[in-house]
Amino acid sequence: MMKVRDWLEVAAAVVLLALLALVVWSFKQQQAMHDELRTLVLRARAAAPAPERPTRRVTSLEVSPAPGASSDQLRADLRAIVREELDAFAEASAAAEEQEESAPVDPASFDENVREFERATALVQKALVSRVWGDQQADEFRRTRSKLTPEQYDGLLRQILPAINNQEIRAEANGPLF
Amino acid sequence: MIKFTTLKVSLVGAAIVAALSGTAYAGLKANSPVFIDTGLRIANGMLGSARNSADAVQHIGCYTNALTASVTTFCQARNSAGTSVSCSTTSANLVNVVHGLTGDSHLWFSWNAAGTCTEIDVYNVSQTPLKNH
Repeated sequence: MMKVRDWLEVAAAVVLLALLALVVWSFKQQQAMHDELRTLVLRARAAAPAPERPTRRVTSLEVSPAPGASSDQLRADLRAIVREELDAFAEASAAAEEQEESAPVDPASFDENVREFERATALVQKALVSRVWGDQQADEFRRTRSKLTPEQYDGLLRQILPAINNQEIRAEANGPLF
Repeated sequence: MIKFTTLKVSLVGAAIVAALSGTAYAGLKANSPVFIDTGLRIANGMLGSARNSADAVQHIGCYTNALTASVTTFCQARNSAGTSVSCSTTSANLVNVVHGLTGDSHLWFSWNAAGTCTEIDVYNVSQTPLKNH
């Protein structure tokens, strides 16, 4: 025959078991809801269009202060960066100018070019007056060629060739005219 | 009798040589002395024809002058009347055409008011005459 006390102990055990079952059930319910929510969120993200990237034009420098950084510190950093960039630019410009100035210009070859160009020009002018272009003129003109720039040479040809073709100058050379 | 036979052999031999000679020199032949039209600004002629002409005036041809940094080609011609023309070009296409010019080519060229060559044609064909002297 069970005593009242025994019945009470059995009842307490049953209640405890029921409470435990309730806790386990509620935990599982919560987990299921969490999973369901997560799935829903993932589906919604997949269905939604990709977010547009911001395309606005930057018209001013925007600096978000780092946590703990003061605005004075940021200004000082910016000044330092700008100064460094300006210094680098000035340095590069100076180097380029220096290189340009130190390009090899041989005064002797410059003088020679001037002299030969004057000689070739005089030769062409003389031919335009005398109206004759013979072997002697052709030889002399050929000798100056390597001392003239392509532009100078071409410029002289543009004077003598039309004159020959218009029969204003008689081409008497037996060999090459130029 | 011996003399008659010798004569016959000689005649037959001469006939064979003549026949062979005729065959060897058959084929279309052309002759084109230097022609210049200063109005149209064109000149043409066969180098062999100019060279073989009876006059000692006409000539036609092209040449190329090269420096390390530039190449210029000139063409020039003079007809039997003494009219001379010339043009120059640095165009790679025209310079290349002149590389194909031979001593027996047919040459055609044109130029503009500035004396720049605008076209150069070189014909290497069988009918052009060879220089014979």
